[in-house]
Amino acid sequence: MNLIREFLSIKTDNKTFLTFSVRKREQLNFAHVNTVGAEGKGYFMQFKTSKKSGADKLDFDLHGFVPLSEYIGREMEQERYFGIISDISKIVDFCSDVRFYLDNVIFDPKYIYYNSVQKKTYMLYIPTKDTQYICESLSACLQKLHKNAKVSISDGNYMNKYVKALEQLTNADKRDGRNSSSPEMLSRFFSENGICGSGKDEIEYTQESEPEETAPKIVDTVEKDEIVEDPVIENVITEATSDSGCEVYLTNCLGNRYDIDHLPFYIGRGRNKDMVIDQPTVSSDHAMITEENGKYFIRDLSTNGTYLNDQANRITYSEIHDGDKIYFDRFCYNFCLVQQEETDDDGGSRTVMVARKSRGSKTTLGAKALAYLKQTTGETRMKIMEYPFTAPELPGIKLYTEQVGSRIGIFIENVSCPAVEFETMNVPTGYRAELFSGCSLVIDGEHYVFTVEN
Amino acid sequence: MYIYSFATTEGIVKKINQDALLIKTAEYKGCDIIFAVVCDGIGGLSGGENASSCVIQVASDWFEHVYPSLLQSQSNILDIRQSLDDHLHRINDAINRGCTHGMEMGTTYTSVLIDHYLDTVLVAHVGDTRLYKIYDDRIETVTSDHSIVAEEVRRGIITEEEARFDSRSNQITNCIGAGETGRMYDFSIQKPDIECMYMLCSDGFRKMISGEEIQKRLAPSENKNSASIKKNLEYLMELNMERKEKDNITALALRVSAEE
Repeated sequence: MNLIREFLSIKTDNKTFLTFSVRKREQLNFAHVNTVGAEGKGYFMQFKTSKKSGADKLDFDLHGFVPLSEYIGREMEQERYFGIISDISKIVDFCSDVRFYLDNVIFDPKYIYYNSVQKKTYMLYIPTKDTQYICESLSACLQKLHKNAKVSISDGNYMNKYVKALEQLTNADKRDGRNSSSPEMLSRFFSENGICGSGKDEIEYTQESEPEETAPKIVDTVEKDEIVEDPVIENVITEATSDSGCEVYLTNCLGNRYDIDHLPFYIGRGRNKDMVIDQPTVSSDHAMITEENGKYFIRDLSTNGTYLNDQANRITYSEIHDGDKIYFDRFCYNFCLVQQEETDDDGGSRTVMVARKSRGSKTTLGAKALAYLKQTTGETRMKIMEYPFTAPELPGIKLYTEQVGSRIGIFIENVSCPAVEFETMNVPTGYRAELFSGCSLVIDGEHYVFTVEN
Repeated sequence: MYIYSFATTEGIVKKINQDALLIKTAEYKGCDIIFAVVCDGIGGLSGGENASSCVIQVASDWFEHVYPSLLQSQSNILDIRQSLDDHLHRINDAINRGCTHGMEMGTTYTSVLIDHYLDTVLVAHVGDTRLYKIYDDRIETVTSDHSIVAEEVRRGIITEEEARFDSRSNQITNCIGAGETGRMYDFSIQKPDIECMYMLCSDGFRKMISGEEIQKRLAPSENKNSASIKKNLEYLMELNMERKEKDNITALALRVSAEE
């Protein structure tokens, strides 16, 4: 029995290749070769086979890949680290699904590869007919990774659980023999604990529940979530306030400004509100601002109350003036009513951050693009209004979003386009790359710049 | 070798300077590397000052401690971009955590990293600070503002000329901190341009003066050493103040020195 990785060698001419030399009396398992190239495409490094003096050779193109042993030493967020570990777990699961020999998978961080554009981990599978090799153990490989990783920990509990699971796994390997039970144990860890902030479905729920778990318990009444959308607000875009020659807006202590650009103006926790205050003690419909003969009024609609300035009692309906402090529950906002000809000494130069309604509100006039694809030569500019995005001008190309760690990533997928390049990196058919705002793309010979409108 | 200089002032009205800037140079395997950042803090009182100096500190630490290890591990520019992006998002989260404890702050951010070892320029950008490339015959704005007005220009609602005098020019749509999450920052990967002057500035430096005025003073052939860059930046800063710019004013400029 030989260590499988001893048959690997690195070769560099124009490109860097990793070559595996199959020994003479051995044969490739072509069913497995096909599986690696088909269903296994997202898990395993792709290779070309060739024959040299009767023996098979597998050439793995390493262009665009970093050995995990190297990548893991860079500072990374916890989510990314567990993204990698869960990739490995998925690969191991895949192996048992398609009956790949774990002994022919190379469990060595030096020969596991990370593609930082695709944000994906790939492993090596050597598809030979017999298992004449021994591989290293999965647990030893994970231990090695863990030792060398530079992770900035954001969820200590999760990390502790993982360290414990890893220990159990190592012990199980010692007790039951290499890799006999570790694959299941690893995937069980992820199915029980989630992938630390990734996975589309999970994030939907965790975002909802997180504030209640992490924030100190709030003693005030916490309203139940009402999912029923408020029908009143639809299409009530009335009286642009600029007609009256003054600016009306609310600001919070961050300097964020919320223009009261139509009336009535609704405030609350509900996503469809004109100003969303995402706090559990704020009611879904908390308050509304109305106008009559140039005077502005606030009406309370909430459970926990709306307060004005220093008044101790909650208000139900009250006129509001420039400079008034309005408390929605205990969240304070300033009401500003500024005549436009008036110039205060600092007002014009002070930068303010304009807060936006959260996603899902479509009441704004002239819908805004989420992103643009602009041709670098010529004036063509495509508006991306929603994801997933496809366009007749770009056949075989799809743009879509996916949760990457704690953030949303935007990806381009080459479904069936002859040539796609992302920042000079080739994106072959069936592959994807994570985009960033400002990146350059070459799609079928045309150059584009992709920019996100926040 | 790079020549560079900067000018900054709290301006004629404000009592504190919420702008912050950074210029650092390094050498790797005989190749010049230069990193420059301008931040314009927002938010009341000292919040903006805090935020901009926090972010400058993070950028500086990144350049000094993280960037060298990236170069040594033969990272490509995409990895380097990712690393800077991660650091900026991390400080964004940290500032937001600070906000909930009563410290309210945010800042814009524009940086340029010119690395002759990788033969690459990496531009990072959030908010309405800007990066310009100034040539002897023209001036180019590299970054696009994250502001209400610039957005409306992109959407075709108003023209660029109208935008210049729009009263909402102080409203920005993206920044680091100020409670914002899930934002994307702009990056651009380019080839180093030894012909041009790179100039970073806060909005206070460019609102009262025209691109043409900036171009004339900062044209590469007019600035053969750091002292003349300094003189010209200060001239433009004064010009802004004469024209009653009320904001903090900050600019820095750099270029490859002409071979002697």
